[in-house]
Amino acid sequence: MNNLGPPLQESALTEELSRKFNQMKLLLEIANKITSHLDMRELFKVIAETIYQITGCDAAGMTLYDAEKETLQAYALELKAEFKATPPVQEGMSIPIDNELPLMKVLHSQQTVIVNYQELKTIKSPLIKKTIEDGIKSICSAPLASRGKVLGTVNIVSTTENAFTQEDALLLTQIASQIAIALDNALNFDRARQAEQQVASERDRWRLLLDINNAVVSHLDLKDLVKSIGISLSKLIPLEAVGIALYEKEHNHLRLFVNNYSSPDSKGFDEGKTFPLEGTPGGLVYTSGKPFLLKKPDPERFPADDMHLLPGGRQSCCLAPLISHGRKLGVIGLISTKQNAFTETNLELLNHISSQVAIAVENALAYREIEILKNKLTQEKLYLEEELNSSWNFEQIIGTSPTFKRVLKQVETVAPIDSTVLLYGETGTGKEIIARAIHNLSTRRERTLVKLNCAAIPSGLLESELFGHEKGAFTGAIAQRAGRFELANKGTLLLDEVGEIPLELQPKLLRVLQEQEFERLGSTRTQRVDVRLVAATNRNLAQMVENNEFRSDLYYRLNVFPINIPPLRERQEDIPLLVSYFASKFANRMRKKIETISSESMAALTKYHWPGNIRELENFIERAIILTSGLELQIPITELKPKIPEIPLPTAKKASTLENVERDHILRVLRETNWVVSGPTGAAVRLGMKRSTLQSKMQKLGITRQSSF
Amino acid sequence: MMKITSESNDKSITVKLEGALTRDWVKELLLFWQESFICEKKRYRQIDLRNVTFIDAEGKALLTLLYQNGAELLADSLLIKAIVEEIKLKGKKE
Repeated sequence: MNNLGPPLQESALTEELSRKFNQMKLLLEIANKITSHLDMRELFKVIAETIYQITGCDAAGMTLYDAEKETLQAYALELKAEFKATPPVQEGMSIPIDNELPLMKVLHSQQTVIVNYQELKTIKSPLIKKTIEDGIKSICSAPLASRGKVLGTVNIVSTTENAFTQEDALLLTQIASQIAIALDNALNFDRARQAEQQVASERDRWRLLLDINNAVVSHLDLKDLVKSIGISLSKLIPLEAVGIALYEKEHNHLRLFVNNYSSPDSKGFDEGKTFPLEGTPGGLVYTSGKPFLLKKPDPERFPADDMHLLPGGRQSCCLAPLISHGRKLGVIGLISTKQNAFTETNLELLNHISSQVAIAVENALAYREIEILKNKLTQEKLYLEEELNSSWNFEQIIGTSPTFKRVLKQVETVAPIDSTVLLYGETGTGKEIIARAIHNLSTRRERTLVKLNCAAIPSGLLESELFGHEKGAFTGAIAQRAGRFELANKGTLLLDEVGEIPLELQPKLLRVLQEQEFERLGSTRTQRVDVRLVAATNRNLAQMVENNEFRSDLYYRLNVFPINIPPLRERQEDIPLLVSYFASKFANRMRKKIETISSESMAALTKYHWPGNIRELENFIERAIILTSGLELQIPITELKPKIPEIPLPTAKKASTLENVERDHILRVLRETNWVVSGPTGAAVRLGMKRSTLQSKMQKLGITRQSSF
Repeated sequence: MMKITSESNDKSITVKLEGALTRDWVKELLLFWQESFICEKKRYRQIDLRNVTFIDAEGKALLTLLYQNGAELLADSLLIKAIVEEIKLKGKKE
């Protein structure tokens, strides 16, 4: 036995030395591998092969411990090819913290631990129980500690009882300490990279917010604003379009206001498209006030959503509500023609900027409204300036005669009602003053009374004057122009000489009166207005209807409440009052002092039949004031002789010779033209006068078709 | 405001003006004339001013030019007739 002793000892020593040498060699290999691998999982996979060789284990794993969050994660797991059992933990799985686990003892003590089968069986942890069920009978765990901090554990397991020796434990401790250094470096590298990414992300985010802020303060036009926001957002988010839909209270829906596709090839829905609040993603965001991410079309949840149906339509979107000062304005959306184009982070960012965009949208809407009101005011101002320069400016209605009082009573009755009024009266009787009285006594008095003398506008321009035109609607339409109906919106429109409106234009006027809507010349957009119409004429419209010169439907629509304004000769009691008023007015204007009017003069003024009515009286008194040098008004009484005869009856023989000649000539031409008044072959052209002038002369001379027979 | 329309047949061209021939509309008429009738020499050319309410100095200058180039001016109201007479007189002198 003794003889055998020394060689055996020597052999064991040699074997021991050889094993140590191999271990050292493998440890060196591990050190080399650690320096050449940056990815920890990849590294562990490579090291695991070496560990199998050194320790004879069946599986090796690595856990990571976060002391701050108190979490333990199975970071890497490598199984020997022969090991067929399913391990109780998988890579990436979170391991519940349980102080009974051998791992926890390693983490707390920072010492390597060997747990054999007998000890394993005493542990009640379900994880260990499952481990035993898988056939594991030995565990050895070593701490991953670096700079005094435990980062996790390296664990080896075996299906053999008492598989690991103290020597294996020491070796695993050495391997773990090497891995710990590499892990610490990798974790630090990850942290540094994450911090760098976070800084870059923060920087991009702040830059975006700055860009959005700049867009908000520098764009008052919504389209420009959305375009600018789209450019800024597209630097961070792969979007194809930015859209804004605004809520319309009167219709309770959202209207796509801007849809700014970044690519000209992309097809989107036209601006102006409307969406119901029910059954659409936009409606959901608007009503809930919360952002929403639509990853792909969802017809079940949003049955009214049709934006994905067109080729090139929206497949995914990010939506956020536009809320400013607690008021919901609409929705902003990032749109893509691809599914799953956006992430929750994109949604969060959009939601973050939506409050700023909402302020800008509110500003833009206010600016637009101000622009519209400013333009309207400018147009009204221009119109009123023209009116001030051109019209009479009666301060009050003068008249106490019973005939005139009846008219005023009618005015008082009809004014508060929005009904159409038709004023009949000879020229100069004050139709416009009565129209103004109706307007001033109505609920529309705060708004404008707009006037249009239909006889004073060339017939070709009348349509444009009434309804306005778009730029380029006809040659000469060099700019967009609002018509009188638009100017008179919420106010009153006086159409003087309404009988002069050409037949072809009358249906359009009828439509406005009935529907309160029309289109500008050259436009397809229907404008809605709320206008009260007062029409005036010195012609017999009923007779014109009979002569087919005026549409009967329009006549009945106008003739809702007719008021006949008497000529001055039928209210002679009012003449002294009017004389006194005009004398005072012109004397003040000319800085003269007029104290009396002789009774002879007043009698002459009262007796005169005033064919030009109040307008003639006013001009006559103005002339008298100019001629007066003393305190008594000097009236040129000789001028008050009836030079202009009464309106002759068709069969009157007392008319002057000149008038007879004129009458006969007009009649002859009318017969020759078969009573066609207007047009290139009409009587007006042949007589070298305008249609309205001829019609006025015919009325004055009492020429009608019947009278000629 | 002014509206410009035209009618033409084999023998004549009539440009009808309606409204006030002033400021920007003078340029508009000049452009319209240049685009439509600048090369027209054979047909009788007439400018219908019967629905014109006012003509300013620039308008008169343009009408004088067109008159000198052979366009006939048609007017019926007192004011426009007087202006046309003035244009014709000036056009002949120049």
